[in-house]
Amino acid sequence: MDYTVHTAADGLRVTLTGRMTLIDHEKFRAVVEAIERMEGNCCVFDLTGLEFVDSSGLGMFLIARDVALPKQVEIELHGAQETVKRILQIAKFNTLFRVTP
Amino acid sequence: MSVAQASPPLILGGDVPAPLLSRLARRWGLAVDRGARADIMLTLRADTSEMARCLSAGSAAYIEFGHDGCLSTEIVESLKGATLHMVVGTVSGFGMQAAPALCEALVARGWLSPKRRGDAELCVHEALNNAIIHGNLGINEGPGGMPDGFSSFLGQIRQRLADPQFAARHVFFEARYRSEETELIITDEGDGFLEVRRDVDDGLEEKSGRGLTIMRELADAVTITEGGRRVSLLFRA
Repeated sequence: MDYTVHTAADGLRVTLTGRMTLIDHEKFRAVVEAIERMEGNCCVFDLTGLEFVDSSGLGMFLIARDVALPKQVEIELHGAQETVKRILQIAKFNTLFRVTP
Repeated sequence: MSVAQASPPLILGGDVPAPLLSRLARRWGLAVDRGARADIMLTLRADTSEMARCLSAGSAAYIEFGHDGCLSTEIVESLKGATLHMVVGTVSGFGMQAAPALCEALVARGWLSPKRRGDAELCVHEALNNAIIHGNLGINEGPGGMPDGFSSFLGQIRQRLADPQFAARHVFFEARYRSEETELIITDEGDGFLEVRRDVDDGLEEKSGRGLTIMRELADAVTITEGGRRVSLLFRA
C-alpha cells in the first residue's frame, strides 16, 4: 500500500493506493499520527486507487476512527472500487463511517 | 490448459538439488525434466512471481519442498483430474501475495468466472492468513482493541516466524474443479481451533476476527474440518 496525506480546507485528505493488508500497519501508523495532529473536522480517505483491503485493513480504519472520534473528526471513505466496496458492506462500515461513492 | 494424463507420467521439475529430484521422481513414478513445463514444480523457497509463471505455463502444482509430506500420494493422484496445488512454508507464505496469483490461474483455466474472482481472492487471502498466523504460528488472538495492538501482533508473528518449530510448518492449497463449481481447500499444520460463530452485526468495532465471517458471506459454502485445520470454500459458477 502507498499513501499520501494532504491538508485540506476542512481537515485532511488521505489517498491510499495498492493493496492494504496486515503488513501495511506500520505505514498506516503515520496516517493515524497525522489524524492525531490535524485541525479541522473532516478526514477523507480517497480509496479510488485502492485495489484490495483485507480484514486487517478494516481494523486499521477502525483504529483511525478511535483516534478521530474524541477530536470530533468525521472520517469519510470515498470512492471505493467494487472489491473494496464489497468488504466495507460486509463489515457494515456505513454504520461507522461516512461512505461515499 | 493441459491436465496430467494417465500416460505418460507426470513431469517433475524445479530448482531443488538433482539427487532430491531424482529420489522423489523414483518414489512417485514421475519423469524429470528441468527444462520443460513441469506438471509439478518444486522449489526450495516459494516466490509469488515464480509461482504465477509456473501456473500460467500450465503447472498443476507449485510446491516448496520442506519435508517428504509436501509431495504426497493425494497430490500426485489428484493431478490426474482437474486440480491445482500450492504448498508453501510458513515463512514464505507470510511474505507472498499468493491469493491473486492462484485466482488468476483459476480464471485462466475456466474454473472460476471473472465475476467471482474478487470474492474468491479475498476468501483465499483470509483463509491463507488464518492458516499461517492462527494455524501454523499458533497465535490465537488478533490485534485486539489497543492502539498498539497491531504492532504487538506483528511483533509476535515475527517472533514465531523465527522459531523453527513453527516456521517448519507448511500451508496446503488445493483447487478442485467439477462441472459448474470449484472447491478451494486450505489446510494448515497447526493445533486446530474451535470456531465461535459470529453474526455479521456482532462486534462491528472489533479490530480483528472477521476473516471467517467474510468467507461465509462471499463463498457459496464454507466447511471447516480436521479440528479447524482444514477450510473448504465452494464457489459455484
